[in-house]
Amino acid sequence: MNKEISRFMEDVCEEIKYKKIHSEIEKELSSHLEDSIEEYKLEGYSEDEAIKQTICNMGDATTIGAELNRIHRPKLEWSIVGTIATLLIISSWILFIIQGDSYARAGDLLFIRNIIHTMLGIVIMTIFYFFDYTKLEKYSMHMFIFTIVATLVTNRYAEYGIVRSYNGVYMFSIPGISISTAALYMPMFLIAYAGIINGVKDGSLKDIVKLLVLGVISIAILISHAPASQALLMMGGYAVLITIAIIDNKFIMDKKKMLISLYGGGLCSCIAVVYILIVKSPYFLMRIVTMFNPEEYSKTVGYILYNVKKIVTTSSFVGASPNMYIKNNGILVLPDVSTDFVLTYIIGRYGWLVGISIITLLIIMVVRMFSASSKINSGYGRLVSLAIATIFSMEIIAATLMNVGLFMHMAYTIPFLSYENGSKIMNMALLGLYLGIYRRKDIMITQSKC
Amino acid sequence: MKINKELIKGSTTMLILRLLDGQDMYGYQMIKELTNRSDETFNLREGTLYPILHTLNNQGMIEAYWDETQSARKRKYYRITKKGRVLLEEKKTEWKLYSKAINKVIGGECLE
Repeated sequence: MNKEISRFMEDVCEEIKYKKIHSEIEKELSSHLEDSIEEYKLEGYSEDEAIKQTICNMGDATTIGAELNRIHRPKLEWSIVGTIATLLIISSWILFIIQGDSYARAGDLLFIRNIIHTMLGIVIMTIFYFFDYTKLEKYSMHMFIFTIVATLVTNRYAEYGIVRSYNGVYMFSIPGISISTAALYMPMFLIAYAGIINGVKDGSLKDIVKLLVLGVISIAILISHAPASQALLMMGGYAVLITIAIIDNKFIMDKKKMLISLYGGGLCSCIAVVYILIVKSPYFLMRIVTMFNPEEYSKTVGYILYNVKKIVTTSSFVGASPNMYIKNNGILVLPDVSTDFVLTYIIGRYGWLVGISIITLLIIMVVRMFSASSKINSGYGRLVSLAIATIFSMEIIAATLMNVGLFMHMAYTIPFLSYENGSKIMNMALLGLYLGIYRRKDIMITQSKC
Repeated sequence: MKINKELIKGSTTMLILRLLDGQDMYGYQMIKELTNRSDETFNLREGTLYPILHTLNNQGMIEAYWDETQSARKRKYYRITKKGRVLLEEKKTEWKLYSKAINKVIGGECLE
């Protein structure tokens, strides 16, 4: 390339801080310059004249570079990072308090374990943040099939090595860290599904059937892995992904009809899933019933719901609730306060002011995640980020409602705030992936036409 | 006659979208088309086209793809999206209203 042309390109690129985009911009601009030079030469200009005129026509390299720099900047979504950082800090504080509350019987390692998980989580989050997520897309189907096989294998090899079964819940467990297998597989299914949806080109009936079959298989398999809460999250995630795909015109069928059949079918499958869960465990039905009449079952199945309601309704704005501890022996009324009922504990011990502040933070997080996802234009990135936003949001909503007595007890914890053990690390990985997608949203990834 | 740069800057987005509404084009081609169709009135500083194109791409108004022509030179083409067509219509309406209003004022209405 001619010296003057390379000089021009250097001047432009010098202004652009994000180096990964340099090659793309060089290619585009030099193509333009070459076209222009060729045309001048055809008009009879000499090589040097043509080059001079071309560069003059382009304008000031520094100005062009500066404007391109403004456009191609990797971005961090600070409101989300800030909200989550705050939740993590509150988490550390409250777990310290809970550990110190001898009547909570939470064990002595709670605080330090949470710190370790959080630190590990931050490392993993950073790795996923810088990882180029676009590389994942072409392995989507592989990932989906792998996860199906993995869930089936884990079923068979419970109690071998790192797989353990606690009360029917399969866990991956190494000293200090454990995560339920369902919590590990669920996001894998969802992210792979997002890639498969994005790969749909024709949107024909064949594609729709494929997506339906894959969805149903994965839900059926995941339900066999307790806790059922994960399978429900996945169903919600699938629903959101397919809805967005329909709205974005992925399929050739009429949008309204598709949405109606999606939600009609979804409702039916929810009823089917609930039925299966009831069949698997009769207590499940009891727990649903107690949602509507906790007092009557307060000594048995409705014990938790009843006491959660009692605590939050008798707590003051600033100050404790008198119903946190059992009258005769002082022990905390609720079990699992470090995991499932952190927010209830906070409201019960410190009052509603703190409670509402935390709930506000959670609402901000949900809103910001969806709003940021909508700004992402790239098909794959958009779907994956929406899947992640859905997972977090559903968990937050379910767990928060549970913590204020408006929902029955299910295996949901508030992400980042509770003691989640291995799930905290998983959530940080997903967060890193999410932020990494957002970071690249303005950087053009152009595909070549084959 | 050379037109004031500020006037041109405001409507460049609309012009680019209009060009792409007709067919997919690459940068240099757009410059040439604009010059031709406007009978040489519009003569953009060529480099300023690219920040505009990249911004429109980020906003989802246009999409970029690399294409290999017979001369084996890779060119970066842009195509307008649905969103972009909607924006184009908005801008056209805006422009019509605007030029109508200007014409009304300078076009001979006496100001009492």
